[in-house]
Amino acid sequence: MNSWRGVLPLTLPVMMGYLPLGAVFGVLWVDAGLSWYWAPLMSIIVYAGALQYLAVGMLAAGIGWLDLAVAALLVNFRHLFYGLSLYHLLPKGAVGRPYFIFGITDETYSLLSASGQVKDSRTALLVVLFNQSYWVIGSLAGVLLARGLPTGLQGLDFALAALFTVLAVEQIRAKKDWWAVALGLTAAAVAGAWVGEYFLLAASVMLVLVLLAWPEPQGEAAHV
Amino acid sequence: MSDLDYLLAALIMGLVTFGLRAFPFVARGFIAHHRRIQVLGRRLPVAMMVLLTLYAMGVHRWEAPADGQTQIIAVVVVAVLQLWRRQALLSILLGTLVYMAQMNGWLGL
Repeated sequence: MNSWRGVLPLTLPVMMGYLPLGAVFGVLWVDAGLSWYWAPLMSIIVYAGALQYLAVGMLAAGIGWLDLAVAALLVNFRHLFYGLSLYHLLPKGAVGRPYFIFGITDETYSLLSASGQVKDSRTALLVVLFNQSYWVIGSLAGVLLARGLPTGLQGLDFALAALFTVLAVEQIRAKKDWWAVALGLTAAAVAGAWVGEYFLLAASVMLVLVLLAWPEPQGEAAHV
Repeated sequence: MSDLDYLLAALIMGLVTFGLRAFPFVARGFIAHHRRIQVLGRRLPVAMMVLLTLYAMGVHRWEAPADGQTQIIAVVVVAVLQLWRRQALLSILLGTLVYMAQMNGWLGL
C-alpha cells in the first residue's frame, strides 16, 4: 500500500463523510452572509470540521478574537492526545512533517491509528492530503450549491447540533463517563441561568476548572 | 468583515488547532507526567460534546423547555440513529431533515 491508487479506496469512507459535510459547511457559510471564497480558504487554513461549523455563527455574530481562540482550544482539545499514537507515521521532511501534524483530524486519526493498513509515513501523508482535499472540495461545492437553494429554507443550521450530537454519542459510547455527561449538563444549566451572551465561554471554563480541581478517585489514573 | 478579518480569524483558529495537534509530538513527557492533563484529556471531550450539543440547540435562548421542542425531537432522532446504525452522515442528514421538516411546515406539522 504505497501508491496514490491505493490511498483512494483506503480514504473512501472519509470521502463519503467529508464531501457532504464540507458541502453543508459551505452552504451554512454563504447562508450566514459570509464572504464565499473564505469558506474553501477556511477549509485549507483551519481544517477542523466542528470548529468551522461553530465559527459560522460566531463570525456572523461578530464575536471577538479571544472567544474564537477559546472556542478553538476547547472544541479541539481532544486533538491534544491524537499524536501520541501516530509517532511511527510522522514524516521526516520539512514540509511533510508539519503538514501531517496539521492534518490530524478525528477521521484521519481514526483511519491511521485504528485501521492498521497504513504502515509507512509516505502513505500516511497521502492519506492526510486526500482527506483534506475531500473537505476543501466539499466546502467549495457547498458554496456553489448555496446559490441554487430556495430562499427562506429554514433549519439547515441544525447540522451543527446534529454533528455535535454524533460526536457526543461516540464519546459516551467509548468512555461511558456519565459523571462527565452530568458535568456538561450542569455547566450548561448554571451558565444558562447566569449569563446569556457568554454562555459557551462561561460553561466551558467551568468544565475545565472543575475537571482540574475535582479530586480523582484512587486507581483511576491508568485509564487514559 | 474585511479580508484581513477573515484571515485573522482563520489564522487564530488554525494556529490554536495546529498547536493542539502538534503538542504531543513536542511534549510527550509532559503529558505522560501530568495526571491532571490526562484526566482532562479523558473527561473534557465527553463533557464538552454534551455542552456543545446544548449550545448548538440554542438552549441558552430558551425561556422554557417547550421553546426547544423542535430541537429536542431532532436531537433524539440523531442520537437514536447514531446508537443504532452508527453512521455519522446518515444520522446528521436525517436529523437535519427532521428538524427542517418541522421548521418549514412540511408534513403539516
